[in-house]
Amino acid sequence: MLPDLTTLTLLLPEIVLILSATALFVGGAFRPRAAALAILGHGAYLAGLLLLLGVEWGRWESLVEQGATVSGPLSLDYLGQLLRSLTLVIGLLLSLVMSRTSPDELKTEHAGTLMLTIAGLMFVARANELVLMFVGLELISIPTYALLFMGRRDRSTGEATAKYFFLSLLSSGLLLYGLSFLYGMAGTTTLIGSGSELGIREVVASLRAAATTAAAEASVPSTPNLWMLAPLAVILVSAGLCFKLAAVPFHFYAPDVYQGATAGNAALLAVLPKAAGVLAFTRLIVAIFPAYATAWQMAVIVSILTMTLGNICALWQKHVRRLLGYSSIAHSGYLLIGLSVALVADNDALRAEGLAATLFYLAAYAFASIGGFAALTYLAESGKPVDHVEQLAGCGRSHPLAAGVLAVSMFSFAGIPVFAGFWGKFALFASTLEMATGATYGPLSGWFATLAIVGALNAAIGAAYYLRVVGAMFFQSAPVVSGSPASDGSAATATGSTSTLSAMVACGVLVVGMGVVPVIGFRGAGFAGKSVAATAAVPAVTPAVTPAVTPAVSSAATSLGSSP
Amino acid sequence: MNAFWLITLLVFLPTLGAAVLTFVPSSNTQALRWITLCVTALVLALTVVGFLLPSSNLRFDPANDGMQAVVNAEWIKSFDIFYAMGTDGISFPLVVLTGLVSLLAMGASWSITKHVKAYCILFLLLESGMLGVFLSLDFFLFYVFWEVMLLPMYFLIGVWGGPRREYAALKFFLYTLLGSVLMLVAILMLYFKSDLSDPALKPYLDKCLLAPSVAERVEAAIAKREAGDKQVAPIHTFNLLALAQIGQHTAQFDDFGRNEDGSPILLFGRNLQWWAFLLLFIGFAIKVPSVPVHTWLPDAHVEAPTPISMILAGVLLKMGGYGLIRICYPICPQGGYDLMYFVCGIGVVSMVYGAFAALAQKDFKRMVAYSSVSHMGYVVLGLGVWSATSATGYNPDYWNMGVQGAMFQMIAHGISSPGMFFMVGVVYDRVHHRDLEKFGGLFSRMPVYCALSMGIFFAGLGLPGLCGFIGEVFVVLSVWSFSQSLAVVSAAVVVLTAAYILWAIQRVYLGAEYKGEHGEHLTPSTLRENLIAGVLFVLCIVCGVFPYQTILKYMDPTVSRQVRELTDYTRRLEAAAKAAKDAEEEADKAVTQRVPAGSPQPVATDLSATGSTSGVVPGAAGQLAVSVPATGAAR
Repeated sequence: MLPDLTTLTLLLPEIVLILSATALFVGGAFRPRAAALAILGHGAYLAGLLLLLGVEWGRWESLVEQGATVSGPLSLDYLGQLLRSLTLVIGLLLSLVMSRTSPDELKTEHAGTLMLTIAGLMFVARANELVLMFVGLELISIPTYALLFMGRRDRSTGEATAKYFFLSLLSSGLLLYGLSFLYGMAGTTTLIGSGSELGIREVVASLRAAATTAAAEASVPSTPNLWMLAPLAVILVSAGLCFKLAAVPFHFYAPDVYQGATAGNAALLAVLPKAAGVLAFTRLIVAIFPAYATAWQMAVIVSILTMTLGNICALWQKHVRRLLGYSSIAHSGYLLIGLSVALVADNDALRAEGLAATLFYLAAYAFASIGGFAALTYLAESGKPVDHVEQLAGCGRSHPLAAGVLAVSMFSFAGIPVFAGFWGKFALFASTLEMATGATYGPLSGWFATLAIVGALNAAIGAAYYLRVVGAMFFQSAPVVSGSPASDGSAATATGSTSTLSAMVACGVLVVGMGVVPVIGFRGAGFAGKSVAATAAVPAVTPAVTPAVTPAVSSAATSLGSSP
Repeated sequence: MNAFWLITLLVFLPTLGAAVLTFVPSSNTQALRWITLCVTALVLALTVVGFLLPSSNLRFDPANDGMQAVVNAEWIKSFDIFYAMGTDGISFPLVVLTGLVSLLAMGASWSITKHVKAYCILFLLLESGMLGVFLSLDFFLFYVFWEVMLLPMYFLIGVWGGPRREYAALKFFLYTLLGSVLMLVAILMLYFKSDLSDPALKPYLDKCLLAPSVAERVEAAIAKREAGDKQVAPIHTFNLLALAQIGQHTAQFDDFGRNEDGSPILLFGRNLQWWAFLLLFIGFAIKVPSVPVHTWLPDAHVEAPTPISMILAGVLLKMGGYGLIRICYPICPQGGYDLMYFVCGIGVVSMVYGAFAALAQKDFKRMVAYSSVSHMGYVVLGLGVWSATSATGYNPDYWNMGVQGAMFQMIAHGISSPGMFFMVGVVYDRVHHRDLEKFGGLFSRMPVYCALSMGIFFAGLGLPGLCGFIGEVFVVLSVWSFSQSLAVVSAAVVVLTAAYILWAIQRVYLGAEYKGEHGEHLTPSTLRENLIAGVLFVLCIVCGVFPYQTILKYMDPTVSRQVRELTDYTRRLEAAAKAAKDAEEEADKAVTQRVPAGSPQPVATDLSATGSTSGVVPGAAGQLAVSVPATGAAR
């Protein structure tokens, strides 16, 4: 079947990115230093953003009003649109940060590879289909392996890349296995059905309803219900996504890889897989298994373990990127707070709130991360490479701007008011405690009150190491180097590139801006949350639906039965 | 002038000053200092002109027991967060104290020579934050000011502090942040559980000072609910006064929600009020600071530069006490009732431990810091003596005395403690050490300074006729009716206080001759130093001789009203508990009577078990009962 024109227009920004990436690869082979290619490396994101905001502007308005619409493999909801534009902004920032760190002869390849990962995340943002979702996720992972190698070529980078490569493959395998169970249960790869065509959500809901009634009637089910597979599907899919999020117990790679990567690559690792993990979790678990006890209890436990472990391990780190690696683990725990609220909520409003809080937190985290790593990149470019926290001593005087942005990022991570991170934490705690105080049965209250208190304690633990970074920059004076004053002098004259500087300042402004005027961000995140919450509502199982389900289910069951 | 502008100007004048300072070249240190001093003076002048001059239309009326100069503007609509400000007898003296201590501390800042511009800007931002905390009537606004204040303080200690400044700044920040995130959890719990559309709240709505837009919605919702509509969406609120009315007059905070069978959801057997009180108390106890969580204070004080120590001791510690009296007790009275011995115990332990620790110190400033721990223990104790119970026939007088004593102690300590820190700073600037063992004989070298110091130290000691006496006596007297053993211990602390202060005076000021380092720098105090110390000294005497006219007059009506309300609450609470207990006994009797008959009735025991977990049945008394569970309507 040939794709028709509407599908192509729906994917216009992605197509622009992929074509630009191809142009960069091909063009770079002949003229690696052409100015036009360098401009294309940044410009493609802007073009994509313009297309998204300009051409699809009318659609945004309608999305707010009508909630979600689904068109085959793409879900045209507000969440997808918002995350695609956010992804493009992130792509632009990352390309600015990375433009100078890559070796000169590989510049175009570097830019093209980055562009592919961004396109991958954009696919994930609106995938309504298992295969497209998986392809999107792989489109993020595979170019990342190449990017990690391109940044630096020493022993530790090799080790980090190999580690990332193998663990990433393992997680893809787990995810794929989980997806196969989803397919097995539903007999279709579409996530949310439209019209008469049933999707995984509808089939799973009816299977679940059938299982519940069977359990209620206490009759021995004549045929085994496929709902039995739900725990396996949820656990395997979550395991695959926990790797993307760097959540416990799949977090081990993060500190090593961050330490071995360049600051720019670390920024990419901190943001893209995490955003993809949150999106995929929303589409695959939250929308399909609403209020499913196994899923939300697991999410709450993983959240508590992840943030506590990440924060406590970060306390002892001396290496800046390793510290930020553990900090990114801790933030995954926070993201899971919102997702678990969205999972457990039994009404649309609260589910939307949980998702909105997660999205706001994700945006705040992304900008603060890129800002922080951009500041580290800028310092390295200005002749002050920073690996250890002590090396930051005196930066507040020598590089006030970079130190300022890094401090803003740290305060935002720590969740101090007037920075974006505070509102993220506020929204997360608010949704959790709304759950805890509005619960209709006791244990739920206990789970979520505990979650909120653990989250609060973790905010204080986290501040300890974020402030260590700030303290090193502003309270310690630079060590007097008893060496050649000549090298010192040359270090002082070297300045960072304008592109890194602009990305760094933009991130700082975004973090402060989102903190001072949080309303705009909350509005957008709120709409996005609502658009998914509505689709996550369990559709009423009408008798008319059930017969339509049966063939798919039975065929799935037979195929399952025959497969071993 | 209208209230909005007066209050806004008061809070944001320092911020404005800080903005102006960014345009002053950093080399012109004199201009920077003088501008900052003028701004702090202007803030103090504004409180005096706006609130105290008879000609002002917003003159603070000491006889009024409610909020005055109330501002209520919309801020963040989606959460019903308001820019709600105002002042009453509890906050007003603290606002004046903040203005005064800031002015004096800025006067003491001439000794700061490093990065003067950044110092002045941060100093002014800090002052904005402090005033905002005392004037906020919206819980969220309060929290934002509370947190915003942290950053300037962190940098002020971290950049301008002593040798271990980084450690001290980090410790200060982490302790306070820990308290404030717990506070945030409590704030959000209370917010999401609060519901203004509760018909039980109707008679008390006029006390909540709601913004007109909210009041309209509330009236409409109550009307609907009274008409039998169960689907009314709850109206949550951050308004401190409304939360207090909800906490005292409705059962909204008595559970975390309702199970489907209607029984209350509790967390580890405790209800929401109890948990909220505990979380808030931890947050405020860290700020006070009370004993298990006090360890940030000595480090912060020792490392902070003198003017920042003055602010820290004079104003920041008071925020803890202010939070207890303004937020903890009115909003979560049941938590306060259940935990009254815990709170008083914390207070007494702080007093005793702080005093012993002060005795043991060799560092002059550390000794003064521990004396703060001890003195602030009186505040916690005075606020916590919930003596208005059935044991005293619900007599509110002693508790009222304790709370007034605590409030007075806060102001008195806010005068004497900055004075003591300033005096330590003056001598440290000259000889660059604070070792108590190496002092002695300062009297002959710096006579004026020593005379003023002794006056201020005696005020800290609590000598009759000076400001420290009144608060201590009020608190100790009030404790007698609450617990005689605690009263004996707290009275004995007075002896310890006298011991460490007199011993310090003896070691530093008396003696034959100064033999320590840098003896040649021991020049008589300058006019600027004498002026600052003199103001504090005079205030020590004036407040000690005229306690009613200077301070108590302003706080008495408000404190009395609050204590009276809480006494009424205690009466209802104990009546409800008694009713529940009687019901339980009845049920038990019913069961035991039936047992011989051979058919035990599990239903009866179930009934008695549902409500007895926290000792009080929520909603059992007529006044406390609310028929519509808020959660039911939310669905």
